[in-house]
Amino acid sequence: MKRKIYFDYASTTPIAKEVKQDMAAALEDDLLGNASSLDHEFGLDASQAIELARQDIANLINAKTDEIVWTSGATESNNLALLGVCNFKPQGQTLRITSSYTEHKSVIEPLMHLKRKGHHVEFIAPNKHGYLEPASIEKALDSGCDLFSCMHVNNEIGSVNDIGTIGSMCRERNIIFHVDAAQSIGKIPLDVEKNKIDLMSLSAHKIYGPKGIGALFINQNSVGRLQPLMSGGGQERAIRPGTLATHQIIGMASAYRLAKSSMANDLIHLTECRDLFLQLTSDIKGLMINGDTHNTFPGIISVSLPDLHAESLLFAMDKVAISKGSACSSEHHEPSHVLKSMGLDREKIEGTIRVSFGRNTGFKEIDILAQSFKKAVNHLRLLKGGI
Amino acid sequence: MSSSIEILKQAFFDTDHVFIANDQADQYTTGCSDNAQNMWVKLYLNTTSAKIIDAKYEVSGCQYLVALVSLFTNSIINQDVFSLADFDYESLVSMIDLPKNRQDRLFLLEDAVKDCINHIERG
Repeated sequence: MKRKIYFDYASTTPIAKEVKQDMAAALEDDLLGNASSLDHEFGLDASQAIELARQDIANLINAKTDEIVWTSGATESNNLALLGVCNFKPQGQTLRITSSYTEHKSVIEPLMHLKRKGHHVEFIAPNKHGYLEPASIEKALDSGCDLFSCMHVNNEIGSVNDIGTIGSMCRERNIIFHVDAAQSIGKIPLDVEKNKIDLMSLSAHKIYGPKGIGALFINQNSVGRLQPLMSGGGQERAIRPGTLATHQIIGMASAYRLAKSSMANDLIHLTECRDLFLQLTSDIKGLMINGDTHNTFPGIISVSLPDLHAESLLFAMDKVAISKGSACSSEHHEPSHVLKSMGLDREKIEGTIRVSFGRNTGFKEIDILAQSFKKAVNHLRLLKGGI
Repeated sequence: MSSSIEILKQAFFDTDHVFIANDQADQYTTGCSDNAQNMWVKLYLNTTSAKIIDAKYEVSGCQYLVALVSLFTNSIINQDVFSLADFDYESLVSMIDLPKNRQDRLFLLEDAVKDCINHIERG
């Protein structure tokens, strides 16, 4: 059976050929050692390979190598960043934390946990396009804040927050700034120094690397240390104990090197994909695009058809693989908290789908997607009596 | 024998019994239902001496609801309309392997059928 065409790059990406090759090489016997076993060459070789990989991650974001801590992915990085800062403070000291309603659940849920523990947590709303207005951030920061956390690119609608402006506002006020860069790393240039970022969560599988590996950038000057989530080993300066997954780390580094060299071309390609899709679907009556065309990452498009149900729309598009929204919440059948916070009503949310493009997306495939989309819309409207 | 996913697909894409503009609405008795998720069903039954000679529908909702309504209308032609009160909805559930968290779609169909029977009883 022919497989569907993949348009869900925001949930995950296929592992790049170059990455697979590097990972396969790392799985050979040469790197069998435990990177913490420094008493023999096997361990030393693994350790050396991991440190070279760490350099690749640091290079992409203009960080120092000792500012990169390996994790299992962006979800763990978000948890480690937020819980790690708060738990590092002396017991009884509460922090004032501000974030936004559009964040990923791996930010919102740790923050709700911290709120239950007595910390002051506040969420601010985005504008109708899904990104944070500097004025509303400034107001929140000035009303008292120790830690500000937001995502760079939104995973559901592709809206982009102005990280540079937010970073400056936080640094001026001596506020720790955490960025969830799971959707932007390797796709949009990101410089932690220039953007005055203190903590940044990184993923590998969103940019053609393996699943199960990620990293957290910890600014050595402004943050330095965090309370670990786990105990039982001294790896990663005891911030994230556990034997390091050499082949996964090498895969992540390979993906980051690739991203660094292809980012500019990828961005042009994704913009062309987006433009073509919007052009080919412009005659669908009632189609609404969520977010605006300026502060948007072109690889993610969120569209709504308020008269239809996204679930049946996806089912009717039998040639393509797309999603209703965030992969992490799609199995719960809850209305998207991101779209809700942008002020979309229930009908629009129920009729929203997310299309995301990648490096491998072809223009012919976008034509198939657009035709399939139109056919599905016509079918569902016929079922409604042609309304 | 078709798998449940194949039956679901066939029923979802089958438009034979969809009510279209050319159909004579005055020949049909209608029954409607809806829910808070903006899903709805409108059934059209054409009966002669309580025998269903044609059944049509309009529907808006998830693929399971569409398939349930489609399968239902296909299966009731030539049946006595009052026998629908005892219709074996469970057979539809197993045909498409309706997930547990979508069982409420069945209630939507049942409510539309009941509404239709009420209208027929009232003449």
